[in-house]
Order: sequence, then C-alpha cells, then structure tokens
Amino acid sequence: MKPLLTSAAWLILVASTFGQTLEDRVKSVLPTADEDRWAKIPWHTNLAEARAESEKTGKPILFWVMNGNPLGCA
Amino acid sequence: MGEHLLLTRGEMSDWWERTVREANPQYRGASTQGYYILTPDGHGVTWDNYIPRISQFLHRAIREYGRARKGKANVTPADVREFAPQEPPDGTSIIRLHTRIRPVPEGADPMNRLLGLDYMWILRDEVRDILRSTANNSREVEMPPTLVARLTVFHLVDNVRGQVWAWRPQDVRRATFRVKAAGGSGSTRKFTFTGDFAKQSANPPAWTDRGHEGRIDGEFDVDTKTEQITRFRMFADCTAWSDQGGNFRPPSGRYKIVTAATEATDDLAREITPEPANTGNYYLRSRLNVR
Repeated sequence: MKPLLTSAAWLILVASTFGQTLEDRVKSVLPTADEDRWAKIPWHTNLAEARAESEKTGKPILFWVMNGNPLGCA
Repeated sequence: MGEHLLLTRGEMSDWWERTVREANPQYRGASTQGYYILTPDGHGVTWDNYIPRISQFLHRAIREYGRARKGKANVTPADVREFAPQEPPDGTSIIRLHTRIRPVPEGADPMNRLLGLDYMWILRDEVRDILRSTANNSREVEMPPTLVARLTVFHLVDNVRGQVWAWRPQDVRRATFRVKAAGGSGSTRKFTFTGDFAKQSANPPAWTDRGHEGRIDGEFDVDTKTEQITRFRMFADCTAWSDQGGNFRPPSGRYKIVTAATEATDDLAREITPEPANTGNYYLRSRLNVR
C-alpha cells in the first residue's frame, strides 16, 4: 500500500507543476501581501540617522541585527 | 570574550557589547543576533530573538522604553557618514532573492515557515563578459566564474530561520551554469540560463553533515548601453539537509527548498548590502575549483 501512496503523491506533485512557466514558479515563492507588510515601514538603514529621528520624535529605535532581518540586511 | 571579539575589538564593538549587556543582562558572550530597543543616545533597553512572538515583544518593549532613561542623540555629520550603508560597486545590478522550505514537514520548528530574504550583486564586468561571449553565437556559454561562485556559495542557501553558517567555495562539489542568448531588440538583449549545483560540508560538533543541491532555470534582460540587468527571473528547485542543532533547527532529514529571484531597482535595494558582502572580495571575486 505504501508504494501506491508514494506514487500518488508524486503524480500530484508533477501535475501541480506541469505547464507552469518560469514566471509562475517565481511568483509562487514571492512574499504574500501579508508577508510584505514590513515594506510599508519607513526603515532607516543608517543607525546615526535613526538616533537623530528617535530624539526628534521621542520614539524608541527597533534595531534588528541579523537573524531574520526584514530587510534581508545582516 | 570569544577570540573573534578580541580580534575585531574596537570602539564600535565595545559600544555594541555594552548595549547588548544593557538590553540583555543574561548575555554570556554568544551570538548577539536578534532585535533590540535602543534609546537615542544608543543605550540598550530590551531585546528578543524569536520572530513568532514579535508582537508580544513590541508591546513589552514600548512599556520598558517608557520607563527607560533617554539621553540626547548628539549625532554629527561624521556619524551619519560612518554609519552609511556599504555602496555596491559602480554599475552593479541588484537582485532580490526569496527562499522558502516547501513543503514544511509536519512537526518542524515554526521558524521553518518563514521567508528567507537577501540581495545579490551582479557586477558590471560579469554582465559585460556575458554580452561579449554571446555576441556572435547562439550556443550556450559558461556563466562568469565569479558569478557562479557568488550564487552557489552565498545565495543558494537555507536562510529561512535567519543568518546562515557560512558556506565556503571548497564546499561546492558541483556547479555548472550556462547562459544562452535569446534575442532582443534595440538596446535590450535577452538571455536564458540553467544551472546545476551541489555543496556539502561538515563542521563538528556543530554539524557533521550539511548539504544543499539543486537545479536552476532563469532568464534575464540586459540594457547594452548601461551593461546592467533590467529584468531577472530565476527559480532554484533544491534539496537541503543538516544535522545542525541549536535553537532554530532545520527540518530533519532531506527537505525541499526553493529560491526565486527578481531584479531589484528600488532605492531600498541599493541601501541594503547583501548579507555576505562585508567580506569584500571573498564575496565578489571567489572562484570554485569544480567543473
């Protein structure tokens, strides 16, 4: 029974990717609107500028260091 | 203090070490990855490093910031210059990469459901090399070796849980990347490319077997006037594995992982340095000893 299930899963995988263009495959990996919400935040990439703005606005600095940085910046 | 901290010690690292200890009094000298709340004068208030609970962290951080002592920023123009992001080399084309584990195996750490994001630099001389080698023929030619190395060593990686333990050129066992001209009009030339790569490493006791291999399809357009890439699409269909332990574990056994790439022409992409780019020519000019 197990080999049949494996074959069925493989066929479903092949069927789901057959005929997909490169554009389709790329789009399938890109961020969803929900995952891309970080892009609406006016991030600073310069800590000195962020410190100056923090003083001006009275807001804290969220300083993201390496792990899972939303900008892909480490 | 770790040896690497002794070797790289300076005014900046001393500031960071102090800030980390202020934000996290339990810090005992390991990685400082994570997100921190700082005051305008650069003092640490609090921190965390687990994205699934970031919402709770932000609420706690606002409360703690309200109680913290805040000094003046006193930022000078020299400070702004010092902290400016590293510029890409002149004429560089910038590519944005997205990586997902797909499907995420049942029972895997939730961090494996996150999206890996990084940027890749493609140098003007590499684009020029492709234009030149395909100028008078329609056959496949090899992709510039520095570009193959940059892609396989630094960018076809499992970065969905955060920063990757670095791969090295000598870890790559196989890398064949070929480009072919595919027409064009005016000053635009079109190309398609394929790739096949495999890399494997051991670094006991952290891990004894780690691998990443796969096949790549792609296409891109070049503006021959600027020698820059104006459109880029790449899809890498890969398998990875790692017996690495630690806080954020990859799925056990072999798992499927995909990377997709597009051109990135926005201002933010020019400000964000690719994660490995601070290694300078190691990132830009490495070559592989494989066929």
